[in-house]
Amino acid sequence: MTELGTFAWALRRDLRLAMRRRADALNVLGFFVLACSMFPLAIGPQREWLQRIGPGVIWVAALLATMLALPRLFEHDHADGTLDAMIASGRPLSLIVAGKLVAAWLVTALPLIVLTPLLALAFAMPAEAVPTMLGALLLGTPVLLGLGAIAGALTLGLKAGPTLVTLLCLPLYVPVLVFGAGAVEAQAAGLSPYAHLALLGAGMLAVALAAPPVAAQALRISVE
Amino acid sequence: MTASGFAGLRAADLALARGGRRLFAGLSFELGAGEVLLLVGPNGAGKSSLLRALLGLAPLAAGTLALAGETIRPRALCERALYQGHAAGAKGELTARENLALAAALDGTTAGDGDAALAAALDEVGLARQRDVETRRLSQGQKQRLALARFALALRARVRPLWLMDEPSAALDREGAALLQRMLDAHAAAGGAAIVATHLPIAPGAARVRELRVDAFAPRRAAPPAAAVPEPAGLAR
Repeated sequence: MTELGTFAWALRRDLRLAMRRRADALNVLGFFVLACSMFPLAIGPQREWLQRIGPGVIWVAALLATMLALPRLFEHDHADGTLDAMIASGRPLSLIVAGKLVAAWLVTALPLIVLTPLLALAFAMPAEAVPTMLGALLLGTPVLLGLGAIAGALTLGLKAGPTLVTLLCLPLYVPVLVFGAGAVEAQAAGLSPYAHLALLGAGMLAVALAAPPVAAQALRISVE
Repeated sequence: MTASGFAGLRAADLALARGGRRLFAGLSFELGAGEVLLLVGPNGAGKSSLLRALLGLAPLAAGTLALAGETIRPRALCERALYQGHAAGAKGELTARENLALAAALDGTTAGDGDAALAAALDEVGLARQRDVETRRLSQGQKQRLALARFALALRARVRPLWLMDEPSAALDREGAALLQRMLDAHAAAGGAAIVATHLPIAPGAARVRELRVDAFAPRRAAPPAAAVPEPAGLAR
């Protein structure tokens, strides 16, 4: 199996598993939609308020929904011994992790981004802000997932694992949240959103390069 | 990399600790082509940990590994080894065939006629009728048979000549145990080698079978100082 084959193996494997376990992905998506749609109902129909909080609420909901999916990233594979088999196979573990992360993004983050235009309606978001919002989510959610994967790999098998993942991730998630929501706000204020998007993009590239090898190393330590 | 070419593995002075407790120290063994090394010892002696440490899944506290005379890192064995831990190593929501296909792709044991080879391997381990059953519905013994199918594929493909098996027969019925014996024999005859942690006896067939008592290398409890109360005679070893 080539390097690309190893990556594709992990990607296809996790996509197939997600198809067999659709409830997990729907759970994340349901949480996202529910969390977002409760705000307009609770706050009332004042357009200015909704427009003001919309991007922030969608980002917070996306962040929390991602955290909901994180524990499953490696836990199941650890419990049933398939993680051991992956490591013992001698295949490049960082590529396996990369495949798993791309699969996780496709299953948990992409549906949530696809639904965002609908939720933007609920927040009376101006039409020109929606592409910015989507762009920010496209660039920001891989960062959330990548950082979460490192935290998840580090805390694998610990009893307090999920709690620790939350504690480890939240401070790292703050910049994503600030720049993600900030992109839309900047646009609403008549500024260019590209500075925010560029920073998110830089973060995504850094995480895309660093998260697989770091998480792989953390997994090796965790299974010992 | 063929099974007939398994270069001798030499482990010298291995020591292993788990949870701050020394499991064994000074454990050495050699393993050549056609040999089966049985790891025996009571629960907690460190049999599973030794298997994992050989692949770098657990840290060695001390010791060296050499393959064909060259010192190697444990992780380097992974490419030549096929490991089965005590967990099933199969996803419960996938069918037996899907699980085997995934494992075989990772092991590099299916080439070309993938599907036919998978079916043949499942037949061989007696899971012909369970091919499309979700693995979580299989019994413990059937899961162990599914794990054996990986080894059957490796035997056929002549790759990964070092088998590391952790209690492969714990849940197998008599027929399954005989199957394991046959596979080990065929593997040894093809020039492969295996290290098997087991409580069940493996009869010497084609393979040269040796036993390694892991607990024999456990650290003796520190002897009390000479002036201390003498140990009651009944407790003496």
